[in-house]
Amino acid sequence: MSHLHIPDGIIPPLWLALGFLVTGLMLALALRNVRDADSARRLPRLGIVAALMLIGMMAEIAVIGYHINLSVLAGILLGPWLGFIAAFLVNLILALFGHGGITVIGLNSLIIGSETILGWAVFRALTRNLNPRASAALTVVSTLALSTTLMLGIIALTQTQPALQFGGPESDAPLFQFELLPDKAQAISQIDLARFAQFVYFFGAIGWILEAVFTALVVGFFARVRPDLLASGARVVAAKENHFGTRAD
Amino acid sequence: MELAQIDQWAVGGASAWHRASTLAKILSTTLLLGAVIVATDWRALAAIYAALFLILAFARLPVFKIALIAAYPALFSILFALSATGGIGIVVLIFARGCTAALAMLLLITTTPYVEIFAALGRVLPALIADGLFATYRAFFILLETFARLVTSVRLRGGYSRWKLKSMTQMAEVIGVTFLHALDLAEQSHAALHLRGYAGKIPASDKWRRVNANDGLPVMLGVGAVVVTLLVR
Repeated sequence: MSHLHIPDGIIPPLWLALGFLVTGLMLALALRNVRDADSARRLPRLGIVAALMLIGMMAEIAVIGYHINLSVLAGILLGPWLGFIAAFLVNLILALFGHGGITVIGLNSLIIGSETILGWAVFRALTRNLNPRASAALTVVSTLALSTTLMLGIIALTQTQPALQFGGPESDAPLFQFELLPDKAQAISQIDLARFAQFVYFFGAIGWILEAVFTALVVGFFARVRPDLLASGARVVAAKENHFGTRAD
Repeated sequence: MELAQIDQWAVGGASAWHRASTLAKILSTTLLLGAVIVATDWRALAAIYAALFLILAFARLPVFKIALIAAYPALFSILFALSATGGIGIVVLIFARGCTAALAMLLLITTTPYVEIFAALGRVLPALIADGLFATYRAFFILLETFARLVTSVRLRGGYSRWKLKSMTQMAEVIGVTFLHALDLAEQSHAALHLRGYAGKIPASDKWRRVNANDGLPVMLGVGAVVVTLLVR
């Protein structure tokens, strides 16, 4: 839910380009960081986790307009960098199938990618004092609340306003003119951010709890039968930290 | 969304649109998306949508089912549309853009095998990400198959009741087992790839860029969509 279910042509092109640019930089960083780490096993696990996210994102809870992302679980299982790559892959495939705009892939990857990175870091910190189930549940709720705020921040920052960036039905702006909220456009139409935030936080909170329960149960199961899977994400980073001669815990 | 079915439509079709090269269809989709992005009049979007609808029908694809899938993003646009001020025109434009862009993407994916699309994307993406696309798509079907089998066996043994909390725990465990099983299969398959000489990049055929006589259709549609959008403003 915490990614932009916005069709193509609504967010101004400059922000879309910035989204792709930052995502490209993050991907380059991710690829650099996973180059040496666990290379023989990374591809199958990446594929399975990304496919699991894909299934989660395709099964929507129609009543509240929510679908689970499983991005925190991806961060826990893959670590931050492979998790970010998984987020990009999932957004790319979803866009190919018409779910979410193809031009929004960059921004969406940043939002979902932030969930995998934050999820991995928060889970790693919480498991020092809490059991895996409780850690996973708390991680999901806190991470999704943060990433939803990030999504709202992006909408506020881009001053998203349908149609008007390229000259809306009542605008006489030329075709490729880009303006940040011209007064006229602002008066005509824009997304009421406060109202949008109310909707998103209210319905989103229900979804966060569902996703937290689900993730906690799955993590609890892995903790019992394959605890090595939960630690592996941390190990990928630890190996890289050692590679640069820094301390890894 | 039925990925397995979409895959079947793409591979099984024999229409002129199916036979056009992937390169032409990607170019057409890019132009169509460009047209959708710059469209500011719902009539232009309606014309593009109608053209896409007709092409799907001529390609002997289940148009209504595909249109329903294309309407899927609209479900998630509800909150966004409800928050939009500025009248019904803007709300209609949000839905029209979402549905038309989605239908354009679906025309590409239902008439082109994913292997060829991923091979084309592999030309611009790093090797790990390009291979990740293949691995994810393949894993998706492994997961679905394993999950369906496990859920059936749990139900047959009376282990699932929709409204019991215990069922939720069992479902999470089923998903956990599915994940582990799929991971085992994917790792075996990856080991086989290594045995067959995999060195960090899955080789893809260049069939996607072989142009042919059918390529005129997608190119004409893409250019036509841009022209219509520019005229109806």
